[in-house]
Amino acid sequence: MESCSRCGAEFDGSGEVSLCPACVLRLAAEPVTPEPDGDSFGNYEVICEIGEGGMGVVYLAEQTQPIRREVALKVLKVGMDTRAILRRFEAERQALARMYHAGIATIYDAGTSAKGRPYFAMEFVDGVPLTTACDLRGCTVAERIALFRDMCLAVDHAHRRGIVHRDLKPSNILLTEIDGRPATKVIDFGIAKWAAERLPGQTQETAVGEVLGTPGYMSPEQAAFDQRDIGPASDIYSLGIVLYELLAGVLPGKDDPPPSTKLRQSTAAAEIAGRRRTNSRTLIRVLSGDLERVIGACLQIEPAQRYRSAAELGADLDRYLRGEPVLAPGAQRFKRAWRWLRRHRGSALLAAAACAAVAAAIWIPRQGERTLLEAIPITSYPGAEASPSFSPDAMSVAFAWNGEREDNWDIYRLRIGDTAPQRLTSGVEAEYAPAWSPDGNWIAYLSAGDGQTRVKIIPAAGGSPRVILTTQINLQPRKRWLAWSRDGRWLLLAHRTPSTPHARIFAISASSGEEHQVTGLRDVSSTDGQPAISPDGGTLVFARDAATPGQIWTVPLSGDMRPGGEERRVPIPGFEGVECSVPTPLSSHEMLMLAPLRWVRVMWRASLNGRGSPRQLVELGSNASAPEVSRDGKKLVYAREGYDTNVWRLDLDQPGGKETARRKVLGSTLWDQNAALSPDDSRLAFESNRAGSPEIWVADAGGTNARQLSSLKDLTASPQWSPDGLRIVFSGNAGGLTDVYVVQAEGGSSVRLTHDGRENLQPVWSPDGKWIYYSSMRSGERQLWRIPATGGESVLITREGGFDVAFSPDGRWLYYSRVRGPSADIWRMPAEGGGEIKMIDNAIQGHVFATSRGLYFSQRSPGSKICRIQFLDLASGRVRTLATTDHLIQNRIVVTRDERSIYYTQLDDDGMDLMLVSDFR
Amino acid sequence: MSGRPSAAFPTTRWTLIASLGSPAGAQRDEALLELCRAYWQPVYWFIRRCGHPADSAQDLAQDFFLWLLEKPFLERAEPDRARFRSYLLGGLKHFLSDEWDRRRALKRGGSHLIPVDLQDAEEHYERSLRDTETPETVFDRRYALTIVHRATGELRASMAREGKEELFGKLQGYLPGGSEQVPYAEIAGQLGTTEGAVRVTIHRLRRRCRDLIRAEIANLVLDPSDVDSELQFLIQALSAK
Repeated sequence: MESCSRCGAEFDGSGEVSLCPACVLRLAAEPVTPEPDGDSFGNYEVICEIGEGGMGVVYLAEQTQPIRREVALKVLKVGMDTRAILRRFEAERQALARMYHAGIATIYDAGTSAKGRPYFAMEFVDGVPLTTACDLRGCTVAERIALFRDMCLAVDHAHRRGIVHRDLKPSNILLTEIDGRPATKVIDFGIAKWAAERLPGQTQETAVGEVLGTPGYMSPEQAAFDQRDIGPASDIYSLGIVLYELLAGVLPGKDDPPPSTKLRQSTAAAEIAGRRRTNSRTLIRVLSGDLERVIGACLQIEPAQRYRSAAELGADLDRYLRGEPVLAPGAQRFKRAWRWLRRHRGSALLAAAACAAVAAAIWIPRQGERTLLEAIPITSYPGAEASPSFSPDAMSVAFAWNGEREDNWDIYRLRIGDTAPQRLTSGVEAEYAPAWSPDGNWIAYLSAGDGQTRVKIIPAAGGSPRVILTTQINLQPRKRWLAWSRDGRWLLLAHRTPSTPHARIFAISASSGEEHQVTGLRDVSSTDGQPAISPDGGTLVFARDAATPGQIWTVPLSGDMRPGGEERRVPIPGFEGVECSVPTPLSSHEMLMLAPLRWVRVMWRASLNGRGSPRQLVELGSNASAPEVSRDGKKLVYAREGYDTNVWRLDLDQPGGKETARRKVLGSTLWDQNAALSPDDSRLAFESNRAGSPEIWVADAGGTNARQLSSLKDLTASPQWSPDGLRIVFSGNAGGLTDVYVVQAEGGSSVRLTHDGRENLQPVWSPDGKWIYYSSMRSGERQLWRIPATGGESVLITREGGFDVAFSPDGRWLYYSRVRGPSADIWRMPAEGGGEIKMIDNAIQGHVFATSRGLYFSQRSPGSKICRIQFLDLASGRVRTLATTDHLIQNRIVVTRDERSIYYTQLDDDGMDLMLVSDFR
Repeated sequence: MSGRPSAAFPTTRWTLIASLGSPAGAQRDEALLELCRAYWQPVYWFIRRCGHPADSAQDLAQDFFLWLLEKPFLERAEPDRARFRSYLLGGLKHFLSDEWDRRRALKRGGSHLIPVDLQDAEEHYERSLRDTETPETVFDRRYALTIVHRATGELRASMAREGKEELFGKLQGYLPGGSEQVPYAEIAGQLGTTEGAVRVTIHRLRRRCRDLIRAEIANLVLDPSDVDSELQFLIQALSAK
């Protein structure tokens, strides 16, 4: 017998679980969560304390309303002006809420406890400080750098939204697991400033060690409380210290040399190297090269001499990981940084101790900051405005617009700042792809009609057009096809001729219309396009689609626009296989180009000789096309295609009855689409790219409390709830393979069910919860399949094609579509197999929502965007129109159980606008 | 996942049996039999404490369960049916005092409904027996222990299902009544995690343990509002010396 150390009761401790049974029962008799210090925190029930720091105490808590989830509750110490803090928090909550990044713990809420203590509720991260975690896992230097690099991108995400961390250190950078992979999460973003509020009136001792956490990680300007300069650069300094520690296993500390020297002197070098799965000699060698330059560049005294952004730091580390030389902006000065550290670290600490207050305002991006360039729309007419071209003085742009009725492309010119454009062409042909001549007098463009495309020139001030050349090729309006020679005598056009079956670049005389081939005289299989000439007129740069698409090539030009040498592919380190486009030479050795960075299109500055990696200049969003830089390099104009889908709710007075209300439920300016209702109608799962990548989100049925669920960082789509409402199935794309995934509705890792990646789309749960039905290209054609909800073998269901599967509520019938042209027909078959019958002709997308009364679906009026929400009454067989929309309805519609509300997705903006970035260079 | 008892546990509810009532049906029998399997030890201990030797105590226990299943449900021990504990004990006393039933049952002897590990039961009985205890207090104590063992066993099993058996082994000593005095920081070092994370894990374990105990008791009483008073009774039963 054992006796319990707590209650003294004797118990038989020989069983598998050796606990005092009386104490176990007493635990069950206790209230769930004793509130700490008798205080309470609104909708949050404290579970336990997980940490204590200078700012206050951190609890693990459970949010009870409006959804149940675990949160980290940071309760600040009393003694602050709570009301002022909360008022400011309210004002800045939106800024904090804009930080949607898998690498940043989201701040949900702030409030005051019953006893008046301010608290913050934020995402609870079950993780371990980065440095500790890497040591415990024995991560190599490269693994550490890769994790650190990812974290840099998260920090950059916040910086771009004007939020500085101010207290970056290992304990605020946690290593956790996302979708089964190790991932970093930065916690406490934007919180340090509020904690700083309490500094006045505090003793210095408390202020230093606790609130500002860690002078060891603090930038000189922060230590010297130069308030104006507490910006992203300050965080970059802190990142440099963290990187130092992460790699070298020690902090720079007082009077310390660069990491390699420090390690050389250290008696613990062997042990530190061991935790990096290497020996001390190798580690010292690895650290003493480029990595030291990267750290040195972070630790520059002058903020302006550090990396300009955390993304730039991350990109340099990427270069290191790829074995390329790093850029390290402060490289030539890094020795000075070390010297400064040696001299000043002591005084930096003192300065921190004397620190009386730290700037409280969110850092506001300075204009002209390269990574924070702002694009403003210069046209936002109905329809699409495309392919802009600057006048030589960059005061005007010529562009193509398909008009208010969106039926005919014409060429227009607009003085930047004006609202009304001047129309230059008026033909029934489609006129597009304007290019302004270097002397500013002419605009060349393409005119397509009757199966032919003509190159025409029109006076820039307006007048009659002149045909230069007629070609058979049909050219898309969104790309760049034409370029002028610098002297204005020639036009370069990418097109096909009877002797060149693939597109080539030809030089056309602007006066005579004579043409000769410039590119691809030897090569026979590639396709060339997007010509541009260097400022000195001596080099033609163009895009070529060969074995891999999106290569950039150059060829020297002679005075009469003939090739003056060999064609040469531009080596772009790190962009092998990446589609690069719209090359714009800045000189004979440098160019701008457009290339994707994951799902975003980015303007890069790249060498034409393969020297160094391209530098990221500005993100243009995911739907940017045809960027053009003005001749003086100060302005950038491009076309941005809108794609704003929103989820709308339509209320009816009775099932199948009249409309009583209509409102936008999910309406960010990005995608919010394809909503699915939870079985109890209380929540929505939907697709959104508001956090950058398109992911699955959940929100209350009213659209509030939106929360990101998946983080595949690639395309995800079509969420559907399990019948018990606990899980969500969706299709996700990872590395080009689309599979069916399942995730807990409360969050967690996504589990992949199918593994062949053959476009496994639109999964739905069978009403009995046993199966997941989906469509797949596995058999070579799009068919319906099903797989056990717990995983296993997939079984083919349809033979004649199937998509958009839905169940009748009783599970007896399967509804699905067969795509026919731009629309689809809807079919039905017994879920257990059997004959198929066609139910509906010509639905949009083909998705139906089946209830016991009938089928809800959408149809489009031929030749217009007007759509109707339809109801097929199964009893009478009649179709009724419930509502009409003036925008395209996309994806599925869903109906509440009482059939009084319908949720549908509407494409509210599909136009294309011209965007201008001033201060480009 | 904290606080959500696994769906597999417990499968049998006293509330279900009591509501199925009379006449006896296959479903009721099966459910009752399952409860008896789980709670045979209190019965065995009671009979032993009444003075029966181990062998005949086992036969009597088996006969009692047979008798319990054969009798029309509400006819027996009706006033006690609010709690399974009272029902079981009331029925047992009735059975042992009712010579006719007992004789008839004994005649049929040897039919064992409940598989038992007699040696194990004897060992535990001998080891934990206290001189001053009456058959009733022995019964109550063993009944309370059974609840705790079922709940903690399920806690362990649920951790094992999540592949966390080793973690449970390391942390179980931190549950209430555990003997562990090692600081959290040290256990964090052993597990390669932080003190905060250890604290969270332990608190989740505690909460799950609490929920499992309450769920088990809630399944043994008819009125959910009786859970707390039943808990207090069981704590007393375990604390009594």
